[in-house]
Amino acid sequence: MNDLELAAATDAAALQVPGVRRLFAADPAPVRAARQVTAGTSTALPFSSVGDEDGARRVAISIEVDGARPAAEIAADVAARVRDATGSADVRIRVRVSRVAGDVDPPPTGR
Amino acid sequence: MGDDDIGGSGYGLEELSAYHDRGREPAIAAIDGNAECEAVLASLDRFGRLSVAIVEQDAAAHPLDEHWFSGLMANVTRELRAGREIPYPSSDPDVDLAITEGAVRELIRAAGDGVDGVLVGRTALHGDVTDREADIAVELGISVVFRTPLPDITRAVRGAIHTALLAHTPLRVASIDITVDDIHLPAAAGGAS
Repeated sequence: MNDLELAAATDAAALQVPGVRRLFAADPAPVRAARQVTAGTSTALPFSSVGDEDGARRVAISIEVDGARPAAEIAADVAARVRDATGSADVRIRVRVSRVAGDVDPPPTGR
Repeated sequence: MGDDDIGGSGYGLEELSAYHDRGREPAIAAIDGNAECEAVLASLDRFGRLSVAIVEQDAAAHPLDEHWFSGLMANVTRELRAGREIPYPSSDPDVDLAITEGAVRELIRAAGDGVDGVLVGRTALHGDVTDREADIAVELGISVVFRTPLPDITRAVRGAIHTALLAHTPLRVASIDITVDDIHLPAAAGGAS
């Protein structure tokens, strides 16, 4: 699985987890813009990012959760689901909860 | 990227306010896909709700003070930046789980704003939030529409915030200190603050 495929698989796996409302870009905007250019495609990149960390492959994902169950549980479920999707025990996984949605939020978009 | 740029989206508070006012149409992906922008938009939603409550109370329907609003939203945009990552415990050494400081601040705001007639103006987290063993003190200032005794309001705010932080963060919350910064009075009792 190349980096782009791994990132796409990570996105798809995370969105399957109950309580995940949406994904945000794991990279800062300038880094993401640079990745978009180097990818050589106009198709939007996956939200997750893949890189190297201490010689190991690392995948990072940023999520918004719905608040119906503890955010930590959802994050752990995402990590487990991503681990299954990568098919490898050697990938380091970083899950960041960037928002816990409130009851006044509009319906999620961009999924 | 200027100081007013929110979450690296390329948009500032003024643009976000305009986007909010026109019902988020046409959709702007750089805003809708940005956690910090979404947090600011949610605050604008809650602010709108409190504005209605104030106007309903005040027969003269005085417009809200623009400086007060600007100051409050400046606090919101500053505090909701992602900030530090607060780690959750993880049994797998190859898995890092965390919640951002910005998400925690938004959680505090949303819980406080969820109490009827309350708008959270400022928040602060005191203590090392990255240390799971550290005691954390939460401090906030609120504006209230005065229709319930203040001790009841602050008790409800404290309870809502404590519940939210316990449910969604690994923080050891030692205290939640609340200051009522603004009181909006009904017209018959002296007009808006």
